[in-house]
Amino acid sequence: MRVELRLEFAKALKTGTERSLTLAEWHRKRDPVQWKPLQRIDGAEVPALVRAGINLQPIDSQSEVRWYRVEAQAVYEVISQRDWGQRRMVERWHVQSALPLGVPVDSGVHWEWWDFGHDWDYWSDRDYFISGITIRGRLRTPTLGKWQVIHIPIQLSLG
Amino acid sequence: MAKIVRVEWLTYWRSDTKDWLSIGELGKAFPLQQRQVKTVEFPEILPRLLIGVIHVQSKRLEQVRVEVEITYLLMHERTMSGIARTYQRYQAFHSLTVKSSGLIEIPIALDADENYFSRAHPDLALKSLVLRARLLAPSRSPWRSAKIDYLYTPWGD
Repeated sequence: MRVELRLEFAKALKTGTERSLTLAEWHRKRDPVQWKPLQRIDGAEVPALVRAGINLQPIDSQSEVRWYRVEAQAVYEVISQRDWGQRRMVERWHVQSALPLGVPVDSGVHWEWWDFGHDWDYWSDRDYFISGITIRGRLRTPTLGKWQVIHIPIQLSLG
Repeated sequence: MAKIVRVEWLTYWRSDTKDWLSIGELGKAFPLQQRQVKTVEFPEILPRLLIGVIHVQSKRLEQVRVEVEITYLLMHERTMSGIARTYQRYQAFHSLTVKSSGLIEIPIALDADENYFSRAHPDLALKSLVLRARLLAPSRSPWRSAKIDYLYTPWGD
């Protein structure tokens, strides 16, 4: 079976509202959530809980059940408010996950969700902005694939 | 000093129908009940969704790096003893800042994994599913783990 790897990035909104759901709320009650796809973030409206999705899509009709191994990484670009805007790259997480595909239940999907709002506050308190998020993923087995990359720029609001 | 205070497996079912929640239904508007999972009776009662949860605590603000692994242990169905094969399902490195408490959660579609193993390795049976985590920074800690054991109850019991 040939597969294609797709990446997505979304923020969590409390269903029926535009209010960002926090990781603590999500953990405590699994509040109903709407995952809203994001291609960019407005620095004046920073999301709290965010999620990266790594999806394997079959691109032929063979129904064989296989175990695929994928690798994914999220990296922040942080920019100093001092030092002439010096930039740094900071790895937030790096995973290798095995996923079955070809079974008649939810499969071929890996999610990483995390507290972006907390990270934003941490860097802001140290005079840095997170100016972008890069998520990349690739197939590792049965064949090593090319990195698929999405970059989420952050529109900074500088007073 | 930051430390991993708890490692656990959680699952959810719908309070109204008592059905296990699938990974795709997580966050949909059902009344939910949570359960910590340590054993599953197999194959009759199998949670569809598992969430591996690592709780980190620190009294002061700290940046921590955590290594997490999830491994399936399988045994021969004929002998039903010993470990015949291990499968590493997940390995990750998370860097997060912790003040008072921090969380890492890993969702697993157990039904999809079980389906894969039963078709790919019909001579093997699931024995355990192990989640373990350790701190790599600011200092290395011992592994902490949570294990789910599969209980094989005879049909009709």
